[in-house]
Amino acid sequence: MSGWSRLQSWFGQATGRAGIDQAHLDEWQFHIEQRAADLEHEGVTAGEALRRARAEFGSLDARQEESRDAVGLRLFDDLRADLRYAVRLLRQSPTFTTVAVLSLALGIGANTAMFSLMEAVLWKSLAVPAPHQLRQVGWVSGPKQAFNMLWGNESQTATGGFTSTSISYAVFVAMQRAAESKGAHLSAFKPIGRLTAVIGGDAELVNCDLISGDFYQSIGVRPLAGRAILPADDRRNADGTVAVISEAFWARRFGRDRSILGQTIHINQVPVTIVGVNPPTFTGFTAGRQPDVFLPVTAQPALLPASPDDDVAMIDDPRFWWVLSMARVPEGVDEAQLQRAMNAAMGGQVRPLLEAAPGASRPHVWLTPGGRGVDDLRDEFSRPLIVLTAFVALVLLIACANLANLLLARAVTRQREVSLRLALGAGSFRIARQMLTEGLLLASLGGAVGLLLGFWLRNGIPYLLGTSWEPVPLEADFSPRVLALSAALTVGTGVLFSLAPMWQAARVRVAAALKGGGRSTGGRSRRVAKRSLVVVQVALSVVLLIGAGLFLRTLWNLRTADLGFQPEHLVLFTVDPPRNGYSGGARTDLFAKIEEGVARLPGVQAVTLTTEALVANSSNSTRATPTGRASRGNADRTWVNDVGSDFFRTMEIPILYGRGFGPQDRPGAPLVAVVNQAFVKNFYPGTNPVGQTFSAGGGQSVYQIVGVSADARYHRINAPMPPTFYRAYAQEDDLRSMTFEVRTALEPAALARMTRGVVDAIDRELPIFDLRTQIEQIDATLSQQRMFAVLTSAFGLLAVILASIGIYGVIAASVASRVPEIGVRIALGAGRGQVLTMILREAVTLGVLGIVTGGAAAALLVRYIASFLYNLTPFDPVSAGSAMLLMLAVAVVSGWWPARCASRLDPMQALRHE
Amino acid sequence: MSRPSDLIQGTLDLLILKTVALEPTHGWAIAKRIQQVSGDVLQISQGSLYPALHRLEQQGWIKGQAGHTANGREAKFYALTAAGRRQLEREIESWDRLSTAIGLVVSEAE
Repeated sequence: MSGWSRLQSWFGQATGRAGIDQAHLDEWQFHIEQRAADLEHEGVTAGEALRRARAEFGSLDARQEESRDAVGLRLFDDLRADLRYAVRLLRQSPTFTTVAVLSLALGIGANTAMFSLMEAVLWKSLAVPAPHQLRQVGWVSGPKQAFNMLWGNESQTATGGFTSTSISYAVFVAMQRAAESKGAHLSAFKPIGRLTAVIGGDAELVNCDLISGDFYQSIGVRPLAGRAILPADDRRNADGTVAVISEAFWARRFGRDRSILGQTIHINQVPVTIVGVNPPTFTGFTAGRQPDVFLPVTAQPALLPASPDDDVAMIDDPRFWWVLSMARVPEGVDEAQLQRAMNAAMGGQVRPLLEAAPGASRPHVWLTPGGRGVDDLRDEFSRPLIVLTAFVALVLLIACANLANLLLARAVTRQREVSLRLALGAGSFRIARQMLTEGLLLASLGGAVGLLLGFWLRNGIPYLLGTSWEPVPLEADFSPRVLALSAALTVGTGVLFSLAPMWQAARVRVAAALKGGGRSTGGRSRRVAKRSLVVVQVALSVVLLIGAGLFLRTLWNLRTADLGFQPEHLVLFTVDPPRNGYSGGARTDLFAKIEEGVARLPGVQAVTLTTEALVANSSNSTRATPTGRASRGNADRTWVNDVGSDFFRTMEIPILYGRGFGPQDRPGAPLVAVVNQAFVKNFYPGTNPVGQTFSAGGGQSVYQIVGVSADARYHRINAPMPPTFYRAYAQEDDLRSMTFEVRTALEPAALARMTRGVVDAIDRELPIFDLRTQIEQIDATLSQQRMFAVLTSAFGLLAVILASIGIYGVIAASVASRVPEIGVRIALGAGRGQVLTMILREAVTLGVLGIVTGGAAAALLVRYIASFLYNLTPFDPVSAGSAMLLMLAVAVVSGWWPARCASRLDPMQALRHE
Repeated sequence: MSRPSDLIQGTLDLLILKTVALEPTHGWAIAKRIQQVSGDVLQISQGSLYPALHRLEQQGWIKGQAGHTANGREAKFYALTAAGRRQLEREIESWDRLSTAIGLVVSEAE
């Protein structure tokens, strides 16, 4: 018989037990009858023969067991029996089972939710073929760069240089050629944000990504419907261009109607023909963003404004670095050679820039694994996730300790049963296996409920990070990897908390246990074990509470930090006119008209507009050099914001010297700027700079300082107020999008309606978007801290509940075992209060031990979260102190009820208590 | 016979397979036949017989089927399968080797 059919036969025997047992019985009945017939032949009477035959055959049950053992079913039978026994035990004590399953479910559920987040942030690869072959292209350079316009992420290296992933289009084309010559394929992409689309007469905003023509081929994405963008589409075309839309956009906007393929819509007034739909598994390279439309990169000049400094299109400007690129490196290609070739190509393109900027350093190409796409999410969230996972693991440990304690308590009542089984011949291994089976059963129940909980919670945590006007940046993913981890965690937990009762069971001494009711010689070590578990629980809870306290105070500090301006009663909205309709001065006029219109609305106290909203994680920076001085390189870095004339009044930022902007600061008038105190400290320390001039933005524009304003936050709260100069937007041309700030007591919705009326009078097809209050805007930048505060508080609360159950259990058990002693004390004259304090002292001792241990552990661990705190030392006494006091109170409250019961004992009954 | 040791278990398989090879037989008859042919030397108890039968059946060397005795009584008859026949040959061969070896050692002149 082959192995497979043997397995089938075994399986059939395992499951079809009843039928097989009956067949055996029939067979043996026959055997007995034959034997009886033989005996009758020898002269024995019929009845006697049958009796003797049966006696000879022996116990039918024993024969059944032998047969099953011979077939290899012994283990299966034993485990099944263990399991049924465990189920019966659990059903007999529903409270215990509910408490145990719930504590486990909460612990495992929270961990599972964390795993799903880690899957999304750390592990998940792009849904393209062979993601391990992808490499993201980046570069590193020294402190002085040859170009000064960059759109994208740029960070400083440890040596003061810069690194980024943005390159110029010319560099991309050169590197693409170099890569092809080495057998690799390079594609470009760039998320360009939201553009105005007119579909069927309705204007709406769509999230757009630009991609190079060979993108689909080299990355390996196959469209769900229609066709992909081809290299032939990636040409400049006066008649419009083609696009591929995302599956989500197709479902949401067009109801998956196939007739949309081949139709033309207008994006920023450019005719765009939809030729295909992406598969639902592909949503661009940047996780957390959901681009709706993918367009060829050569459509940029038509769709977007030119680069900031001159009228050259972005793809034609060698000094504007903005395109991202991803390389596919097939097997067998020498990566070092490829990198050298690409580096040489970049060098060739950069040489003319270097010659024009003496002292600038050459950027060098470096490739990083790109299988996860652009890893912004990982950079932003990996450390917070690790911290939160550590917290959640602590919660699970506390739940395990609780369960171990509960099981130990039950072990006492089961001593008789265990010793009986031992006396009947069970090995202690068999008993231990029974305990393990019970533990695993509990763990599986808890794990199953926990999985459901985790599934339900998985969207809750990303929701904490979202805002009302932006999509959620994270999407938790329940992949097989997450499920496997969850299952492994469940089994591990089950084994962990079964260790205590297993160890207990193995140490039972038969005779003593059978005789003495609830007492046994193992009592002392068991008491110590239970107490240590509770101390551990309290310690872990203290650690969690201190962490929660620190995050709560950090959030509070951030929300009450000095902003430099008044955020209350400010409503924000953004306007981004399409480039084809409005260019250069026309944009400025449009903004001015909207500004005037809104200012006239009833209920509006003041209105202004800015290029960058305040405290929105986004800013513009450049270098400024006071006239007559030499450039100081990086020390000349300053931030800049283009603002309306009423900016300082609307935001309530005081002007300290000179004036704010006014109607005299028109286009054509001399360029003026208002600087803040930090700017003065950096560039004109100790003097009043009003009247002085400086040049900024690459040396072309010279600004005269007309006023000094108080410092205010720019892009973040948890960064010092940067040196900033403000320009009058009216004096700038080719503005992009502007955010309006309206000081009003009106509700945002009401203001939006009236503003819509104002804008409709100017241009019906111009959308207003991102309606929010300034407070909401600020809160959005605090989403990570809020997530921390909410989650760690929830975990802390969970820990406190679990620990209090643990303390209650131990004190109650202690009281139960001391009943005769308490009876004696009361009989000898001890008062109720004295008994109460005596028991409470026990609870307090446990609490204090745990608090001290927890405090010490926290002191060692807080340094790991120090970077997440704001204006707070990790050893903050308020957080630590309140956490410890809270835990002490919990210990007292948990021990109070058993103490009360003890103090009310009737001495006569107590003394008779066994 | 008391519960057989490992050595004798292999031999028990051999005895059963050989008995069943001649013709399909039921459990009772197998035990009786072995006892008779060996001259009452080998008496197989129920505790060893049926576990062995069921194990051999699960391994695919014998196959159980319903049948009738001479008296018309229903019983489970065991028949040798093709694989069982091959196993029987193997067992006989290894038994020969073993018994020859033991004989050589025992008959060695002192």
